[in-house]
Amino acid sequence: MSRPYSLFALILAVLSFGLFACGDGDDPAPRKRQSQAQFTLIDRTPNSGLTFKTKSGTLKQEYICEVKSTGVGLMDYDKDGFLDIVLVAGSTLERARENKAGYGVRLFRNLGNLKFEDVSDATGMSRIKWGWACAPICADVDGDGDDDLYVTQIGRNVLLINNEGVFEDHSKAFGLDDPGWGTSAAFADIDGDGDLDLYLCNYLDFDFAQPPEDGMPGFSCKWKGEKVMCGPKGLAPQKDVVFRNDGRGRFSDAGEAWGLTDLPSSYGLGVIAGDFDSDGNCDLYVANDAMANFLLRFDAETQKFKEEAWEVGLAVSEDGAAQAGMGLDACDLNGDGIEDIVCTNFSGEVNNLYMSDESGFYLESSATAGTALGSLASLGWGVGFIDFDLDGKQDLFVANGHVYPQAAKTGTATDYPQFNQVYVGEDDNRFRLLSQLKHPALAVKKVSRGAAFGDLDNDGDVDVIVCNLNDQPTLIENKVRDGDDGPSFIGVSCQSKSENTQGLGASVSTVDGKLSKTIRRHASFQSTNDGRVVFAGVFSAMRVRWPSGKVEIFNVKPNTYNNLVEGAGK
Amino acid sequence: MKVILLLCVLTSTLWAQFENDPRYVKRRAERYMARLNYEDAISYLTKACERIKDDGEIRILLGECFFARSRWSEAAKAFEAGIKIDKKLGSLVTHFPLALIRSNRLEEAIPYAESMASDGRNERLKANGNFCLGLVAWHKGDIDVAIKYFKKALRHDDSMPKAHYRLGLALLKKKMISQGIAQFKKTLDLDPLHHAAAHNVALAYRRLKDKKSASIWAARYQEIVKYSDEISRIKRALREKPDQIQLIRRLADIYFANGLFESAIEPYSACVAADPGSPEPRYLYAQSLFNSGDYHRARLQVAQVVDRHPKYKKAKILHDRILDIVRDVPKEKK
Repeated sequence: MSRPYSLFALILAVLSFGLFACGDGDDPAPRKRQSQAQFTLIDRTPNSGLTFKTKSGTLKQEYICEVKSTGVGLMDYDKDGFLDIVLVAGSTLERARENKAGYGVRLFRNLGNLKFEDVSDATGMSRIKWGWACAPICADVDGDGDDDLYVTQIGRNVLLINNEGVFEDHSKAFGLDDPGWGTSAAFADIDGDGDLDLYLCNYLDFDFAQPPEDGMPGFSCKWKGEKVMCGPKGLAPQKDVVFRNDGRGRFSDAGEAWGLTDLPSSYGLGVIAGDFDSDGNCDLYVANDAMANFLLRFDAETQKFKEEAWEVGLAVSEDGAAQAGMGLDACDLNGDGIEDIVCTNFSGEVNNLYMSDESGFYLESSATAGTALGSLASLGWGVGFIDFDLDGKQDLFVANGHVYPQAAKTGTATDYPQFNQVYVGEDDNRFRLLSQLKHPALAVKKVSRGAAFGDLDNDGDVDVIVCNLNDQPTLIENKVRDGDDGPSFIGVSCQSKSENTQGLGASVSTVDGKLSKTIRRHASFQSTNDGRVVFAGVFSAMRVRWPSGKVEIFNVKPNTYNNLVEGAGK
Repeated sequence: MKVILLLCVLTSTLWAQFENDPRYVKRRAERYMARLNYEDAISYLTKACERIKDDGEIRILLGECFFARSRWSEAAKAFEAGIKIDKKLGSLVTHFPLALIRSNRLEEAIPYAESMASDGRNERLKANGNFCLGLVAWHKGDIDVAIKYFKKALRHDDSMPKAHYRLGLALLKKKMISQGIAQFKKTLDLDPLHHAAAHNVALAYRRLKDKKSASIWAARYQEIVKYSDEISRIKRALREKPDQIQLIRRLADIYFANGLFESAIEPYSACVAADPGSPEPRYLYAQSLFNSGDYHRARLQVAQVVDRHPKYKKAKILHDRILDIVRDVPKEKK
């Protein structure tokens, strides 16, 4: 009896495969395809040793504190040339109320071949009493040439100084133990004095003892007719903090000195540092949840910031709506010398792609670039411009996952676990959403949050690590280069003579200026990227504009990482 | 006992017959939709679709409910099913190509939008078809093509705020800033609470380095956002508890203050029904009707205010103004 049905099922399966195959946007379309290398994104999590589940709250996700944790950081803590991974986890309301330790922070040492071992005990990470950790921000904070670790938390943030591979808590001594709800943060040489300052995004006031409940005055905790966790609306936003590095291991709040006293409190979630007006100074772009974003332009002469997001079109969406800004990244897509910016948002909103024009304005271009419609049903967090296929055009990775478990119900036009997405860069600043069918690492729905980008296997292409809420992370290997095969690349790391040893903020470009990238580790959502940059193609020389303003040309070798030292170029 | 049993059987048979009657199903669904209760309409219509296999209109109604709830792909699927059954509905389902576009099915939207654009039945349909074609081009990054279609849409129907707005955006992309501003202002003439247009006017003036105009429009944008937020809050509250007359009055006043007279008519009418003796809401109701071009109903309402409250000068002025315009208003029906 079952045979006809089996036959029918088989025919149906073949037909549906045919249908899917026909609709697969990943097939080489005849128009506008360049000699593009085939690349595959493969899930390498099994057997990688990354067994730590980044837990935050319970599976019910009843409180806003539970939904925003779990960023991921890349750092080479032991200076062996391989990127290690820092994973952070949250806590539970009960633990936080009783002042008990959270789920902790773990450091995984890269053993090569995408295998990792947990070295949290040996490095002193396990000795720390962690709270509700949110973001691992890795940088050479003390300027001694190795990576330190700053962890933002709901509660006091922690600064761990790296001493020959062992970490010691120096939060108080450095003055960086801010008590707010720290989310993303970015180290950058803001005042141009050669050392790293810090911009810290703070989110909102949350009282573990009295969390907001539906029905409390000021709270309407409904979404699409479903009862969901309350906030952020109704909860008081917190002020972001900008710290100046005073030298000798001491930071101080520079908000007043740098003219940020009038900056309103906001639900800050993402920040990137960069020179967004090409005046040689370090600016900051801040993504705020449910509020207008900030563009903080630093004037080196007056040593003051000016908030100018409204002035240049970076405050809200194209339709004039404040969106749920989460993750950020920047890259010069249109080759005008000014970086363009991507900002991830809530489901039902598009992820903004702000393209600069030569007059210094930004136009929201997600629709015309082809990234708008694909992002409507997703809730985006971690994000990065990566040239996955090494064709010279930036692609876009977005980590997705909803905040409400109720999103899994029918009728919400979205889902709780979601697919992560890759948009492949094409000609004319257009992007095409990549199909999951050919990329196993994109074919599984997860509740993703932070994502960090870096060459984890040192093969010249950029891999991805994505954090998933209450789950293991996903380690994604980019297979465009296999050994010596595949498209050529130029890898660059920068070494500055100042205390900003890794040259954060340096702009690396081809000599003709057509391709450029900023050395920027703190981007995406609550995450730290690789400090190296990768360019597709073969060039004999690269130009570096150092944060000091000095410009140098360096000879480079293809298919390897070139360490460019300030002062050693022409 | 037998009689009761018989009655029960009869009732359930009749009921079942009703539930299988497409006309009854559509009426009931429309009642849900009129109350903005789309979720119940969706579950009712979904079940009806399982029972009634050959009615396209029911599926179109279901599609409209999905569309209203921003469930684009489900809306597209329902519209598709409806049109498959009832081909004559064809290009009349204006939301179908929009649902396809928002589901990122651009190529599939094109033939349908084209059939709308070439439909000879009315200008508005043609305008909608061209607007959708413009939107497809916009999402494909073909700005010039998008401009062509948005302009074409406006040639068929100049009163489409969304086409003026999209044309404005496209012109800004082509750096035709002054022309873009003109389109945004037209959008605001037609829809005074279009915050996106106000935002883009401010932004465009900034690009022109006209700081004064930019700040005026930025202030107007902030004002509109405030109003829009309040309108959403009121509507949410009214969905939970519909008879809060103070909120209905506030909603009407916001619409009125922003020149959205057609939108103000319904809430003012509810205020008049709740308090027939009060002159103010009836006067504003009449004024809204008058400003929307419904002079006959406006006169009927304002005449009642004049009769009952002869000292209410604003009503008298409006009454005389209407009489000046329309001399041959038919006598009131009792």
